[in-house]
Amino acid sequence: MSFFILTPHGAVLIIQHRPMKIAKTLIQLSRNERALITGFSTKLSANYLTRLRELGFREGEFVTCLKTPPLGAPRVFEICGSVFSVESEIARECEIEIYPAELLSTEIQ
Amino acid sequence: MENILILGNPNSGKTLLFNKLTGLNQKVANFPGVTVEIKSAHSENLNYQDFPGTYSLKALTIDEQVAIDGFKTALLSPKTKAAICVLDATRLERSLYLLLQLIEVAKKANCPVVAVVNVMDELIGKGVEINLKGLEEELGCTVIGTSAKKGAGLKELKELLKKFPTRNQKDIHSAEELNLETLNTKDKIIDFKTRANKLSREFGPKSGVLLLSQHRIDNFFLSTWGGPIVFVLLMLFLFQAIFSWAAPFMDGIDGIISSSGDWLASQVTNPIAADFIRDAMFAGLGSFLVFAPQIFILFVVIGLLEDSGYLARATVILHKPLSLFGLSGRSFVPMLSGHACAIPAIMAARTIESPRKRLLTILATPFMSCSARLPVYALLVGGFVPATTLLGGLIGLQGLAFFALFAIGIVMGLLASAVLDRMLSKKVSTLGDAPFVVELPPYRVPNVKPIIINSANRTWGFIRNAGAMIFSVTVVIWILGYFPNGSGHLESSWLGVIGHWIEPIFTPMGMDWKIGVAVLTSFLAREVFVGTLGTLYGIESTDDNMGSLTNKLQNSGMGIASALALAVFYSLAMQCVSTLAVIKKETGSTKIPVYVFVGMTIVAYIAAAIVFVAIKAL
Repeated sequence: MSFFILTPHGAVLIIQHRPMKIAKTLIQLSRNERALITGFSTKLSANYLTRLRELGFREGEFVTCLKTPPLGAPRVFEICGSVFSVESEIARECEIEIYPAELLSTEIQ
Repeated sequence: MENILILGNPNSGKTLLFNKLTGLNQKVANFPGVTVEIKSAHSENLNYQDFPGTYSLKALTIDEQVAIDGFKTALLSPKTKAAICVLDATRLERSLYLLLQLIEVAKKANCPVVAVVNVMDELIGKGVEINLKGLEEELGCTVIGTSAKKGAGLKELKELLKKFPTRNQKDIHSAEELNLETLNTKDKIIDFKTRANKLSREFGPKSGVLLLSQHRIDNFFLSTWGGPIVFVLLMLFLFQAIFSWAAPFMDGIDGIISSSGDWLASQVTNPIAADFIRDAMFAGLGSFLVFAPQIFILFVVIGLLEDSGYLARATVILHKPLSLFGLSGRSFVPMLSGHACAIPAIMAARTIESPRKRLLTILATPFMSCSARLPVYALLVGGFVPATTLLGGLIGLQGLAFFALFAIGIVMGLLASAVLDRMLSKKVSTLGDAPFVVELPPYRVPNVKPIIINSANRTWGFIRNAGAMIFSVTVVIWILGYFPNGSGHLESSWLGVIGHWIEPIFTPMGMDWKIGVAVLTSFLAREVFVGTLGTLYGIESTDDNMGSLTNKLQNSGMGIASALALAVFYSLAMQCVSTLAVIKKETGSTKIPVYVFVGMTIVAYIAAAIVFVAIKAL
């Protein structure tokens, strides 16, 4: 739901109310967005899951997308104080819930 | 002598600590997966063992398997006195995960574990604190803060290690019941990770401060435009540096060798001995030594890139483009190292996540222009490409030609990988054993002194190994070329007869019999080429002054078409017995090195013939 307010200077202030949480996968996390890891797809092999969990990608952990590098390169995430680049095929199988830093975001047009 | 095991996460500073404890100069770099086999050295009655890095006690790649198998074996040995777990203070939580596993396993074998919290200098530099005492109390093992780079805390570590008692036989027996698989259940993984997280939050540094500077630099190096441009500029800089910076040193060495050879030969009264000194020893071996500065600079520049932390970023940027050729972003590091030497580069492919991609990387790496090709390139480019500059003196034409020769190797390596990827049996898995998850280490100012020492050692090792072979070959070449008619009669020598017999093989590439002989001898090792050629032109010349091999080659009547064809042949041919041996070892196949040798030689021959014909036709 969005609210539109006309300011005295003539600009339109949009106050957007986002839902509390949005279920997505890690690949859909935009730059500087933060999310909670909720689970992993069953398509991931046991080895992959083990390694991801060892590195900190586990249920209940917050992850932040830091970069979306050029040339279709794997995205860069920060988790548990370390920075990792995760292949898109893997990120697609990592389930997350996005918790916006502020429930109300303000944009000025 | 009792053993001390050095374990830890990839890129936590294990090898730097090992070097400082033992006084050795093993290669170190700021990216994961530099050490792929266990190395040992002793100091003060203790034998230190440096293990490949591992994230946990579950192996997903070959280098991790080496580390974990080695650790299990070491726990069963009464000679093992203690294990050091190296933790990176700037990324404590990840390091603590392995430490907690090690403590649990080592406790069963009554093997003491020392937690060495390394890279403390970076925390202190940023004014960040870490509670080592609190960690020690919670973990129940000794915790020591060190900076292997600055040498801080090492004295205390050595003193502590000496104090540990020898383990008794009863403990060793109990270690036989170790089952590492029990550590890798989902519940156990979550438990270790939760404890690591808690300990890190309670006693560790605040990560935000440490990551901030890394993010700022990454905003540039991983940006849409900046990333690819910086990568290309860095690679161009690498090749320019090899050619431009080395030139004065090469001229100096050339002058010393020429004058030393002339002087020594003039002191010898026997004419055959004088000719041998001048033509075999100094013209042959000396011609190769001239190129040592270029090899040294290549090692230094690659060392600077490795130590800065940039290589991990290049791995990320190149992952997608390399996957088009069946490779992985991780293939970049072996391929770049292959520009120094293919042997460690092929071994570095152990860190690659999938067997198929690892095999393709092993097959593509020999195409990279290693340092042994450098003398041949330098000789031909220096002799036949004009020393003019472009863009207002910014880029030299010779440096650009150098870049082109290196580029040919890279392009052919990628094409070969793409073709082989389509030809390979589906039995070789496309799926990775481990996911492509690359840790991006913090940027660090390269530690110049160890890089210089390591580069000097590697250059000296290269000269020493190649020197023995070059000397043996040049002696044989000199005998065959000198007799029966002596100096100045090369055409009628035994070698001349053999050379003219094989000349038709090399004619399509525009090469005469002398070049043909040098090419044939260099199938043992590429670096023999320059030495052989130096000896041949030394025998042919009746002049008592040695002069440079470049001048002799220019005066031999060789044209630009033949020179470039020869350079292309060298950039693509497989002329290294040691590389073939390491391919056999790493792939476990006898057929693969045979295919590599035959395939690369045929490709090189055809490409060189095409270059010769095309340039002649212009």
